Amino acid sequence: MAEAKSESSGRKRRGQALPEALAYGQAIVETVREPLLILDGGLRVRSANRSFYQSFRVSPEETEDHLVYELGNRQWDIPKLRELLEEVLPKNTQFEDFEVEHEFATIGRRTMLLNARRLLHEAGRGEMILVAIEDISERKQAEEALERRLSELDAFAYTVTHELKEPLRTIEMFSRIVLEDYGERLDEQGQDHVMRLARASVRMNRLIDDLLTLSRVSREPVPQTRILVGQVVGEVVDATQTLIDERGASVEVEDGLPDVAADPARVEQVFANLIGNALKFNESEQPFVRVGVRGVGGGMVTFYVQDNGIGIDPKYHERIFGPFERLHGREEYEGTGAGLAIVKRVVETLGGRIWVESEAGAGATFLFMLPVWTEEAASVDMRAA
Amino acid sequence: MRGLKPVQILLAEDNPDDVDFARRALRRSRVANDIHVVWDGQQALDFLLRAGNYGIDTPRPDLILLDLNMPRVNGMEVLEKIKANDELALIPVIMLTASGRDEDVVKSYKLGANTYIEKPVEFDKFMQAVEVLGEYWIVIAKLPSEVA
Repeated sequence: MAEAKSESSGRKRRGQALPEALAYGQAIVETVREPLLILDGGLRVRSANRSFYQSFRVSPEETEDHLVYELGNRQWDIPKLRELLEEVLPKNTQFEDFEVEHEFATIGRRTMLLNARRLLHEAGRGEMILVAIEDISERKQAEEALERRLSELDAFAYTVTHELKEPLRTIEMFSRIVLEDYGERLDEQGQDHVMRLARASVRMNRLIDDLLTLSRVSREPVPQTRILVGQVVGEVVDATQTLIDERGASVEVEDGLPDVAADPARVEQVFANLIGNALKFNESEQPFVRVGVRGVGGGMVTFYVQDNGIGIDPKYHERIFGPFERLHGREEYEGTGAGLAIVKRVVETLGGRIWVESEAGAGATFLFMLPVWTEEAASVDMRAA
Repeated sequence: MRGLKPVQILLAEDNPDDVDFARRALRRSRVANDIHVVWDGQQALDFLLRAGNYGIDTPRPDLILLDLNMPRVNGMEVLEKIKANDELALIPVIMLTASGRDEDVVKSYKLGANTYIEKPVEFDKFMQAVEVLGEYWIVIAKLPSEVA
């Protein structure tokens, strides 16, 4: 008697635990905002949550105990879903973020991300498949709309700069024509004024170009290829050779600079700008510029461009990277002040950051990080493409 | 070596300032040249086809300078029509335009433009560009019109 009693109370305990677990599971399934489907091993729907019924406008009666493909007038009979459930899942027990686009009779075209997991059940209840469906149609549409707006904006920026440049060309050209044709009839002051007109329009032209570059740098996609940094720096130095000779400067480039994953134009832009600045903001008898590597870690390599130039007071270390920021009068150093802002954007677009170590009058070292090129990174990129 | 006959240049350009600049630059050229100016794409086509206001005695240009952005018929359409016309296809066409947009450059060359030049803003560079152009296309390059 006693034995029977204890056996029955044991069964009772297990009997209570099971409904509790079920209720717990059920509560999760019902609470989750994402549509969920629970299938048996034969891909027949055991149940679905409220979110599923609401999102896809179907009733439990027409859903439960039906094959998943039969649901809602066979609107779930999607070839890609079949492949996932019948081929991918049996091999992998789960898949994640599988994008499926489908035209539903009831709710129109939808883009969904599917996650699924196969659960093996104990004793005879077979297996169970949990499918979570995230409707990303709106996000997708928003992304596409944003992309469209950005490309419109790009076209707009282009048109504006283009239109702005035409009158500038006229101002610059006619001021030069005045000097050429009537220069002798103008006194020195008159000539100077006309020259200033010409210079201002040339300067404005540069500002417009820089503005356009700035607006585009971070927008355009970055093709990730293997960049031989040593070679790029070599080319930059070659292109700057006239200036280097004029200034009697020396440029040292460390051997064996590591390769990075980026695109050649951007990497060149960064080094050209920093090396150019190192020579420009330099009053030393013998200017020198040193290019090398400070360190490698976390998938990034930190390069430096060091000079013995005029240096930068620490209180300006942030400001110099702002667009059109200048610390010096135009008479001292010409330029639009967009250079470092462009460099900063380029570096950040490539996933790195840039900073400066310097004291006024004591030279400057610009440091920036770029992603190291690795075989694995390249193969990941191939898959993404 | 070319004869003494001045080189005939068709300039299609709607901006009178740019026309002045181009004239000035070509005046400096050491090659004798006649410039014919048309102010939009339709006029350019009329000139080339001796249609509309252009009679049978309209000269056939040795060189065409073509702006992209023009009223009525734009430069790209003019270029397309020139290159599709057996009579005109061999005349070198130089796109001289304010647009440096990649799409425009690529499309122009695809349509058969012989050279694409972005109008420089700076006086010296503009003058130099047109001078170099004249030097290259009129003095250095051998053109089909000489063969014919």
